[in-house]
Amino acid sequence: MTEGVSLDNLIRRSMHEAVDEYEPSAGVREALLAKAASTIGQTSALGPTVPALAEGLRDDAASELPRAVSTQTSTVGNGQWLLLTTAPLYAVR
Amino acid sequence: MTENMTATTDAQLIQRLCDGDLAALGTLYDRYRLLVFHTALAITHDRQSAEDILQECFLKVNTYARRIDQSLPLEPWLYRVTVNLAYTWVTRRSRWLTSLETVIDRLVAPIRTNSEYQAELSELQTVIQQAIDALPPNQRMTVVLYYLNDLSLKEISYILDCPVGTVKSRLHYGREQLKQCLDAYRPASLRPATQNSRSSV
Repeated sequence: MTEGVSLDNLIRRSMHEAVDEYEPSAGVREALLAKAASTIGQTSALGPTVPALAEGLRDDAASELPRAVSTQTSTVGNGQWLLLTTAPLYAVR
Repeated sequence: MTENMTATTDAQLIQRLCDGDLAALGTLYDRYRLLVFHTALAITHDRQSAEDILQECFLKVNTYARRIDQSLPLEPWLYRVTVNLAYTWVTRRSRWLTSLETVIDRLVAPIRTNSEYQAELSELQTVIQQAIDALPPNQRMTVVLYYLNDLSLKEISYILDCPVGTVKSRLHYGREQLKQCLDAYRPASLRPATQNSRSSV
């Protein structure tokens, strides 16, 4: 019984002394929070692959939206819109 | 700040995390980083890997925050994730490393970066660490959770997702193997240092 207690204490003390003095580097916390922040971007509707880029695209899209709408409404009336959108398809062929 | 941290329960922090408050993740990290890091370090004996496991563990907290049962304590959940990540690390490492690399690794003892940290017991600790490294992964996890984290057999059985009897068995065999390593080591170099304690050992 005494042997068991001694062995247990020896193992326990040895394991504690082997790790207790060590701390994770500060960079781990920063990297964790940065990754976690980027994960929030991954849940956006714009796609999971490149969240940072998706954020940028979303901002660009928001700023471009009024201009795009106004362009369409002004060109559809005279038929230029159809010409502009079909021309690239012919170029590809 | 400290008062705020202690006043905020884990459940509240998890809820804040679910609401998108990343500061809550930082607080949880500050609260449990040593628990996770020391456990991972004791299993892997590799600082870089332990830091990787630490980061991955809290990323899982962030990812699965909505699935965590806030009515239960967080610690067992963290242990479970840590042990699973460490288990993957150990099995992957043992699969890929050649026996020569393993021998070199043990001789170098990578956890010991401080050359002044060479007290009389350090040699014994190295022997114990090597013996722990030599244990099968399941026994190694059990031994670490029992001796380092002071967890009960029931708690370990939850973390390792196995019956209490299996935990007892793994602990028994792991302990026997450690004992054999210590017995083999003792006559060679520990005899003078443990002259007094040998009568009781």
